[in-house]
Amino acid sequence: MLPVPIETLRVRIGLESSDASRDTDIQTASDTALALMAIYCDRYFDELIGGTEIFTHVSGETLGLKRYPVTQIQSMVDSNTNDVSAYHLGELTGIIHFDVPGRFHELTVVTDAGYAEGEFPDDLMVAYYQIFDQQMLAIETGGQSASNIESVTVADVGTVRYGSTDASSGSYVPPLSQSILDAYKRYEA
Amino acid sequence: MSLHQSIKDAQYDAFDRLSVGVTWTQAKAPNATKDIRVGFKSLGWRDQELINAYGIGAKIFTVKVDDIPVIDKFDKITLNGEAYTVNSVMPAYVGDMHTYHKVIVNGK
Repeated sequence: MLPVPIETLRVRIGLESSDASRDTDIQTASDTALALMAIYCDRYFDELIGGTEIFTHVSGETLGLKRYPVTQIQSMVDSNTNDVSAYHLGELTGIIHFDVPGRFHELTVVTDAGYAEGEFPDDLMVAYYQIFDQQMLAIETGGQSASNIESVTVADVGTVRYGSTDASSGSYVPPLSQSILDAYKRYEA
Repeated sequence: MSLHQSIKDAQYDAFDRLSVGVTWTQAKAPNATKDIRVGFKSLGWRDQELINAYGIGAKIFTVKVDDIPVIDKFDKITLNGEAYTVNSVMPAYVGDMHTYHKVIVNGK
């Protein structure tokens, strides 16, 4: 799934909107960008109708769903196949609030959730494009994106250090994207 | 963009920050001149073999191939009013791309 029409991404990397020569790279970079966003936020943003999430050892008053935003909950069943219906859903937070604090060995939740193509909000698109651009650059340079260069030495001339890069997974999510995505991180209320 | 090209671009970016302005003058006709930036290094104790070959006070100028495609012996490089005469020119590569001339001028 792409968050915007592929023609938009072709134009973004400098191709004609009808030029399909790099669609495979675009799809790879986009999939990676969405995956990194999902890892960073612990949430999935792409649309899935009837997606299933299974939670184990659930207890308390709330449960944060991974897929976001949630349009509706199709069903919620506990490990004894009993329907759980005493709850209300915070669509904007993706959090289920149980009417009575519950304790479930296993809870299976089927939802309609996520953003469809063209429906991603502007701030998420800014975060997405930052990561997408970095991934495209990595593809074009054989995995060596310029942002990963820590220092350059020219023999008999000298060395320029650009500052150390963070080796954690956060370095794959640019700082601007991190600032935006922090507001979308999944959390337990 | 190839990996070698991106390394070359990164090196040229670093080079531009660290280099010094000189004037290159061609020894042969048409005696062309060009203001360029070069790396400038006086040979030190780690360069004993080069000092043995070129004398104390010998220098290495590093010149971008993109600036001057061909440098020959007896060309001159003028830095702060002092002219240095080229003795030897050796190529330096990134992968298979010729990126720099290593230009050695004699010391004493």
